[in-house]
Amino acid sequence: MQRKSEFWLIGVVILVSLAVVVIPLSVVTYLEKIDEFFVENLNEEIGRCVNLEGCNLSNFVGFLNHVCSERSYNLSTIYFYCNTTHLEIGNFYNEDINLSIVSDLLEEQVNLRNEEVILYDLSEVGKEMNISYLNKEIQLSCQRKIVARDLCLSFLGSLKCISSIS
Amino acid sequence: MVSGKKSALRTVEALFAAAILIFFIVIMNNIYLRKARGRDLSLISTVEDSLLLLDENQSLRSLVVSLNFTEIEKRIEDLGNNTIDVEVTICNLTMCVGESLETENVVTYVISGNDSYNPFEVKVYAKKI
Repeated sequence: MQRKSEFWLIGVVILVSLAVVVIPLSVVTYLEKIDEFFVENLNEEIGRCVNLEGCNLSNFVGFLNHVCSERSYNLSTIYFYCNTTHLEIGNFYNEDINLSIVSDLLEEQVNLRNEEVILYDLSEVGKEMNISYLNKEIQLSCQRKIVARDLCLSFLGSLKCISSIS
Repeated sequence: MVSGKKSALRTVEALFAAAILIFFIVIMNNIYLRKARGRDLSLISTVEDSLLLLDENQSLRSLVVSLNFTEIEKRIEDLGNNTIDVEVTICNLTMCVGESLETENVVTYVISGNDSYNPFEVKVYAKKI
């Protein structure tokens, strides 16, 4: 009986040790594998792309997806790009996203499918709008070129995300 | 009473065993991590800083778009005080130019274009000389 209780104690001690030491170390290993420099670079480059002649954001996101998959990263991104005439929303989040767009001229709920891009004429939407998606809300003021984006990279259960507007 | 002392002794033994086990796991994990990474963080940081500097100097993008990987290699090596050996590959969706090195120290940099949209992936392979 006493021996049984000792085995039980040893078992508990070993399990607790494993939980305390091995699991966090493994998580640290995975977390370290997402390269921060790379994530920053992708995010900045989306912002730069819109200032280039002939920039095609959805095509560029496709290119980034290819680069990421080479490194076994999974890229999820949604972007909102507007200039003075158009608003473009691209969903590459690997899931369908419900959006709510509210402006003086428009109040609309949109279900944007994965890899779908929608275009609005600003004469129909107005230059100021609030967009809600994924429990977030952004305000866009399309007086100049603006690109707001959420970018997430995942790898073996670890995740790194950046949201920015420029 | 004696059996109480004995079981306390066994508990202490068990705790010692657990401590040795934890020590062993930590050591093995560190060895594994070092081997798995095999990455020189200072070297990677040097390459990243060099790429950012070249980009700020407005020279990187034109060199990438013109597929001039040898000049990029030379400039990164210069910025690393010629203490590193660098190979660069430049790729888009259809082709790749340049050569690679057998190393864990690889930095990837993406550009969307120079004056016009023309996306490329730049991979820098680095080794200390």
